[in-house]
Parts: sequence; structure tokens; C-alpha cells
Amino acid sequence: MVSRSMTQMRTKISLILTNLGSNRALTGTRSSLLKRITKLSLALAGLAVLALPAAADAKTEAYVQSNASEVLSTLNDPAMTAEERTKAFSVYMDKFTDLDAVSSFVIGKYSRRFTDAELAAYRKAFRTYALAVYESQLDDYRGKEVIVKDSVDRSATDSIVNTVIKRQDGKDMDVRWRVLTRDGQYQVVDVALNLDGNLIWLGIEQRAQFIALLDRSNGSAEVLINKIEEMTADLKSSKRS
Amino acid sequence: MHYRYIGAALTLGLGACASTPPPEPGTIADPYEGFNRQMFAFNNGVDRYALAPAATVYETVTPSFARDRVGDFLGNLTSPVIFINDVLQAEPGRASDTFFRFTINTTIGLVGLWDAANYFGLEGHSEDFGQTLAVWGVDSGPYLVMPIIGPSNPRDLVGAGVDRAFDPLTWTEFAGQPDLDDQIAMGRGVLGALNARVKFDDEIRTLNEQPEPYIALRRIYSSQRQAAIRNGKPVDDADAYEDLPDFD
Repeated sequence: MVSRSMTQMRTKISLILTNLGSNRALTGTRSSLLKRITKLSLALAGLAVLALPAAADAKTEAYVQSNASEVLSTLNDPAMTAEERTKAFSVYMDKFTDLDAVSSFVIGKYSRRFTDAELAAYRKAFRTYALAVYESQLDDYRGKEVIVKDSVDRSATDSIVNTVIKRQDGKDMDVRWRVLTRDGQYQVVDVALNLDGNLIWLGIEQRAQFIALLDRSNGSAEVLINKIEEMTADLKSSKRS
Repeated sequence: MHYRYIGAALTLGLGACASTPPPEPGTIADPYEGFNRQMFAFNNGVDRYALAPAATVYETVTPSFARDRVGDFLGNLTSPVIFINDVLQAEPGRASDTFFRFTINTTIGLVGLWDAANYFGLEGHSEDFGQTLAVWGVDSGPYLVMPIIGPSNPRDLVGAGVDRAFDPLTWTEFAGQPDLDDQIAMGRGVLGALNARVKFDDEIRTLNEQPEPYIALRRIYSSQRQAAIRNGKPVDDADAYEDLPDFD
């Protein structure tokens, strides 16, 4: 793991070791011993604090590694029919992502403005759409292994895991997963594709468009839901053809 | 004609500087959204009723092999402009790649019909004066959608004009055939547009299926230009994630 917090930790450890080494001449006196003990305690305390986010990183990375690979292998199971695959994919995605959080995120301020009935209808439409989108997007990577490169913590509960997915044409795909930790549970809330240095976050792109559509239709949930259903129908018909 | 674009671009750019507050991080300055949306709708109409049908005919009458040769040939013609911009951006490695690509493709690649340099491991890249201006620190100015040209901004419009001036074919005259250079330029433009329309058919369809195609194109244009200015180099992770919106 080569996360930023790990790099910081390594730098800190080497600084601590350098400090301890430079104080060797002080050994033999009581005060110097006290100083060393104090310094060592501080160092250990520092290490413990630094080790916490690093450990969280390792777990987040492992979570993405195993679950993303599992999702992609589900898409590649030859024993399944198309319907079974879609169903299994849906079960995995529910475990892997927080679709309710994503659905609120992509409508921004409107998640607080919709009525409960509108929000429920919207979430239902969005869920069907999102599963169809992810299935279609991830279909290109079916059966491929997700290799975790490293990760970056935005906060203690918000991390980005950088991965590589090998493609048949030999060009590696750089895919990044935004993982939130809630009540000890990890869930992916957005995925970014790095296209020639252009980092495209699928959720953020969706959000920009959904909010623009709502802004232009006086915040009408109906307009958005109709559009989402239309896009879902398009996706399903292109999958069949 | 490009001088008019430069004039319009500068006027619009200066107007925007005077009348709009600085954009928030991650947002794209689009003070002329009303005008831009009209131009976007106009361009969509041109695409739907003229370019797409013409491209369908073009695709039907040309094998994909021929379209690839046209693409390689037209791509090779842009090499001098790319080379000048590589030099102006102080990128000797990339300038050398472009120089050798042009030499190899024009000779071994039979006047550019084959991208032979790619076979030797010299991959192509694009550069233009809009990117050069960005490398020199010039701000893009507001987002603009121009008729036929499509998404742009004042910096890229100026860049397109300067690139035309850099292009040796702009200044080439043929003895005894005063109109031939204009005919070549027009043929190059039409073939380039048809070839690109066939090549990007899937992307254009996907764009039109988006909930807000105008917003989608504005964002993709701006972020792709930024990536091109960085020559595809990734942004430092810390910077790339700094402006991500919160989920809660």
C-alpha cells in the first residue's frame, strides 16, 4: 500500500529515528534517560495515531479489491442467464453501493425540496436506471480483475481507492472508487474513469445534468422521473439489440 | 473569416471579465448560456438534418479502410501546426516525436496515407495554439458555443485563428490555378468533418441521450481541454480530490 498517509507515516518514522539516533550522546544521565523515554512514548503515540488512518486505508482497499472483482466476475458467469445475471448484479450492487445516498447526491438541493412521495418515486426510477447504467458500463470489464494501486483519505470516513483494470486491448483502465464509511460499513458512492488524464466522476457528471434539468423545469420531479425512465428504456433496448 | 471570430471572441471575453464574478471551483463560467444554448440547438439541427445524413452516405460509399486512410492523411497534414505548438510550449521531446512522425508518415507512410510512425512506436498527439496560450498562462475566458464550430472559448477561438496562420497550406498558392488552394482547403474541411462524424457517431448518440446534453458537452469539453493542456498528465491526487462535493 502506498497511500498518502503511509508516505506521511514513513517520513515521520524516519524523522523520529533520526532524532533518537542524534541523542545517543545523552545516554548515561537520568535526565537524558527521561528525555529518551518521553521521546519514545511520544514517538509510539505518534505512530499509533498515524497507524489508524493507514489501517482504515488497508481495509478500504481490501473492500474495493474483493467486492469490485466479485461484481465483475458476476457479470462474467457463463452459467447464468441474462436475467439471472442482472438479478445477481443487483444484489451485489446493493451490498457494494449506497444507492439511496447516490440518488440524493445527484439531485443536490432538490433532495430536500421533493415531497416524500416524489422522493420515493424518484428513488425507485433512479435505482432501476443506475443498475442498468452500471451493468452496461461495467459490462466492458466483465471477468477482469481489479488491482488496487493505492488510496487517498479525504477524511477519516471518505477515501478514494485507485485501481487498475486490465483490458483485452492491453491498455490498462485507471478506475477510482470513492468509498464512504458509515457505522463501520464501507460503501462505494462514486466511480471515476481516467480518460487520458481527464478524470470523469460518473456521479458528479450525473448530478450536474440532473440539477440543470431540475433548475430548468422549476424543480419538477415528474420531468426528471420521466427523463430517467426514458433513459432506462433506451439502455435496455440498446442492451437487447 | 477567422479574424471575425477573434474579434467576437475578444469582445465577448472582455465583456465577461467586466460583468461576471469569478467562478466557483469546479464550475464553468458560462455567462452567455442563453446564446450558447441557441447555438447548441442550431448546431444540433445542422447535425441532424445535414451532417449526420451526409455522413451516413459517406459511410455507405466508403469502406472503413478508406476512411482510416483519409483520417491518417488529414492527421499528417496537421503535423506542422502541432510541431510549432510543441516548440512554443518548450516540449522538445514531443516536438521531436512530431517531426519524426511527419517525416516517416510522409515518406514511408506514402504522403501520410498510413500512420507508419505509430508502427515504430511513435504515437501521435494533438497540440494547438489554444493549448499553447493556456501553457503560457492565458485564461480560457467564458464558455462559448459557436455556429458550426461548436464548443469553444475566447482563448481557443484565438488559438484556432493562429493555427490557421501557422498552417503552410493556408499560404500555399498554385501557379496558374488561383482557386485550387481554396478548393483543397474546402475539401479538407468537408472530408475531415465527415470522417469525424462517422468516427464519433456513438459518442454523439450517447451525448444526445443525456438528460442535459448541453451541460454534458460543456463539462466534457472543458475537462478534456484541461487534460489536453496538461498533455494527459494526471493531476496530483490531493488536488484532484480537493474539490469533490460532500455526500452528506
